[in-house]
Amino acid sequence: MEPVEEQRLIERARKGEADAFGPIITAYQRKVFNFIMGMTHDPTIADELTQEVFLKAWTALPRFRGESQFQTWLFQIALNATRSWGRWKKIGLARFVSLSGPTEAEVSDKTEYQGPQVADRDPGADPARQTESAALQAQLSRAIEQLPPREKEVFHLRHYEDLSLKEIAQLMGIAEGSVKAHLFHALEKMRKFLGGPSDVL
Amino acid sequence: MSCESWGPLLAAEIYGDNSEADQRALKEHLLACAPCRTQLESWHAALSMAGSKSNQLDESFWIRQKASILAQLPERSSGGWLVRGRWLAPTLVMGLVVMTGWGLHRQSVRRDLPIAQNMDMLQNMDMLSHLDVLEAMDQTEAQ
Repeated sequence: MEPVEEQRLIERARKGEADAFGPIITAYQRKVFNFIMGMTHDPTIADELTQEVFLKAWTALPRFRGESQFQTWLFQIALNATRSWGRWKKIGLARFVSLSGPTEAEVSDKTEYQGPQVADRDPGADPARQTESAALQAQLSRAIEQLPPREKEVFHLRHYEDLSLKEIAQLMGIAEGSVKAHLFHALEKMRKFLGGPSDVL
Repeated sequence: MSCESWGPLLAAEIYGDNSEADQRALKEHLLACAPCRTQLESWHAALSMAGSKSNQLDESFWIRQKASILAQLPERSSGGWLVRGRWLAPTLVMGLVVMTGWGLHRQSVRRDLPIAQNMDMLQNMDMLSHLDVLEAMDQTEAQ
């Protein structure tokens, strides 16, 4: 979506025009869902939290002053939602937190989420190589999973959602240098988890 | 500068996020530092496995999700800000302070009321001008 078009839609949505909010949802729902999915590893929770993020964004939109990009602001809401969910999960109440649980029909309607995929996976490639790739993929997922929350957030936002370090710093409320440090620690821990370059390759 | 301290710049380099000055400095360091070169290469190898995140959810999932969000959108009324979110607590506190202040003020006025009423009565009955006469009568009676 063109920035000018997005700005126009945001302005209309700020005034309460729900029609203008539709294209905004279309533009960002995948990114928000993917980020939350990466943090929660549960498609049902990711779906619920994504909906919650957009509902909160709608409610808070009149207070959005455009000091940051809309995407940064939206991811800030998503980050808060996942952190809040994480806190409730710790004490075993996460299931009671979401706004509304999905109906049985909604759950069955979903195609099963396959997790992060290697972009250049070729369906016609050698099956042995595909199996090896899938094993490496699973290993990498475990490596990401064992990262501390802040490092995991930074890694997901930078690597998968392609947010700049500046944007990540802004939405997390930390210095850009700290984002770089988190990213460094994340990459280093992942490398160690995967057993160093000789095991990776 | 130790290799550890180059770490954040190395991490940023992976994604091309370094400034030109940082890039130059890091390039110089990498020419002289084999461990940092190896580290950078190993990260590249690990991240090539990570790929980009693409999910295999059906288009109908996104359509249903969007429809669900739009169906839940609350109406935004012009006065809604007063009773929602961050304005609710300050509004309640302010209301409480105003009501307490008004109550205290009313209480002090009520305490002063008898004196004020007596003064009004004296003025209304035009008795202040006869105060000297009344005092003289009192003194006579006392004698």
